Amino acid sequence: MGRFGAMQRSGVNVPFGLYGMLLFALCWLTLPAVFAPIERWLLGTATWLPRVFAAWSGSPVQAAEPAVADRLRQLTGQLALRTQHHDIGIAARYVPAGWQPVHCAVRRATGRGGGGEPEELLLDRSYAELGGCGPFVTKGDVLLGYLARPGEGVAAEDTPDDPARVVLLNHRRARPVHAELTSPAGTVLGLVVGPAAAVDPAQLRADLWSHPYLASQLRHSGQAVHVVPLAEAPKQPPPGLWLGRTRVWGYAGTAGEAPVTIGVYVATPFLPRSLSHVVVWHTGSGPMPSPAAAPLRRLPGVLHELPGASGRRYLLAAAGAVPSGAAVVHAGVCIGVTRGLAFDAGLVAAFSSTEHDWNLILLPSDPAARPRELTGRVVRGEAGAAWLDWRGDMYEADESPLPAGQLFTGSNGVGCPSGLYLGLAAGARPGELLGVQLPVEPAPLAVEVLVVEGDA
Amino acid sequence: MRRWLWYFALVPQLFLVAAWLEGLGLPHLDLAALLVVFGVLFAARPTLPWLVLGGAIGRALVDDGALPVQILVLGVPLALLLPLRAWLPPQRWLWQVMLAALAATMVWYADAVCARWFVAAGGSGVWSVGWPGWRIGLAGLWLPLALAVLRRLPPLAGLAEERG
Repeated sequence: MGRFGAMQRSGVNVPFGLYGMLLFALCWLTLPAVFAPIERWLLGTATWLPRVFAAWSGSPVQAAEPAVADRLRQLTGQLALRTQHHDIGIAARYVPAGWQPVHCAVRRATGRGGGGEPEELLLDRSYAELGGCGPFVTKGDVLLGYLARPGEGVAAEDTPDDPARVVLLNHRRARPVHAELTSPAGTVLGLVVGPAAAVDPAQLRADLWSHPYLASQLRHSGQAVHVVPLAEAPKQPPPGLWLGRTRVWGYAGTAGEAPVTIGVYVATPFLPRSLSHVVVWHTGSGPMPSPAAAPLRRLPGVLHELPGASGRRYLLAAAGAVPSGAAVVHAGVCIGVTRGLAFDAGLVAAFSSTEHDWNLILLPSDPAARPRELTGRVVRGEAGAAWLDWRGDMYEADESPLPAGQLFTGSNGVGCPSGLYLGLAAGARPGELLGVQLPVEPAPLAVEVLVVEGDA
Repeated sequence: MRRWLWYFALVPQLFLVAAWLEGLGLPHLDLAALLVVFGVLFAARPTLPWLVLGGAIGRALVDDGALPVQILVLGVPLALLLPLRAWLPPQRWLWQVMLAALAATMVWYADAVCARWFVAAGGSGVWSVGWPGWRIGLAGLWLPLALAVLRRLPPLAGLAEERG
């Protein structure tokens, strides 16, 4: 023991190699794109043996039965129609006469604006395609933000062929909006709504009140804030659209005393990070944009179960290079997303075993009900079922329950677009977990990987 | 060279085999903690970075975290526990039991911290893992037994330090 201890104390035995490896891992995490090929290659090599075994596991299950496939097609069609119908909503009453809605899918939400939420959206259409559109972006009768112009402001570096960028109202460079609200006492208060700070409790902040004293007397949150354009200022958003509901911030009153209001924020009805579709408005000048062409190709592959991970993790053997973050679809059902590896392989975490946030769309069973865009994270999952911690929109009220219905993916990046079927959701009240039944079939499964052209 | 070929060919697969055995009903075997205990008590120092890399590749096959996250999950507990090598007699079962429980705890903690911090590398961004009390106890009993077998077999036998 003594001799051994003395050996350890010599400087030669300091584990420099181990420390170097840890430092290397930190560099790797700092510059993931630089080291991604190493990871793809190392893990791809490690999956050779499981792939050999998987090749003996039988022939893969092909597409679903025709009746099931028809039902899925029907649901997907309903989702598209109902989403478009409710997203356009009654906003046509408020925009100038003759403007036509253009329903756009969100490719990605970026940045960190007011309330810590994303402040920009990238759409599935280019600036050139939306050239004849007005500056306002809506969803239902809610004003979300402004369509950027290439070469100007936040889009100074963009070209007309780039995906169009939407500057949300919580962007620090978004134009403030003149608005009004009706206080509980019935008084109409004018105010200017602009972006809040990232650490603030809501996305927008109310300022420059027409009656500052009355504003300081606001004690309760929840008043709707509507756009009221100033007559003398150009390019004002149309009146009638609304921005959100107030969130009064201050100190709770001690016993017998009224609370003290120190700030009023405005919470937008739709969480920027959960937005999967928005509407821009064509002004009538120039041609109407054609329907967006899907930039995805379907790469065939076979999904094999990894040992001990029944229905939760899979090994993917594809017919081409597999990118990371691509949706894996079997018979119209989204199984999960890929982690791309070398040698045309990938690892796939099933939806029920993922740990990251998902953008989702719930299509309520009630045909008249509005589809809900929400974010959710699986907190408990097993083969065939998942329970999600979710956050929905606040269109009807600050906290409204989720109805039962069919659950689809929302916009989760270019490789995992909205409208892929996930399962049957049971509905949930605020604060409850959302239970989802997922269709399960034993592997091996014939699947398609949604790959962006030129991505791998 | 040959021992490294064996090591990188077999150790990542051991993670899949352990998951398969668990699926058959055997007790959970925390191979990451086992490699940490092996690294602390038996492995030659120059082999430690590669021991960690091989284990990280295996763990990345069965977990959502990216490879650098897995390197940290194995490497940080190993680096923190390594000074104990100067005092712990490697062949004593009692020390192995205690070290296994400690290693399993630290691997669990490192995994939860990395999931919280490294969202872009597969983490959830939240502290979502419950305290695995029974797993820690199980690791204390089960890991030394598994280690007694595995460290005498290739590829781990080839990485052990010669001790006088």
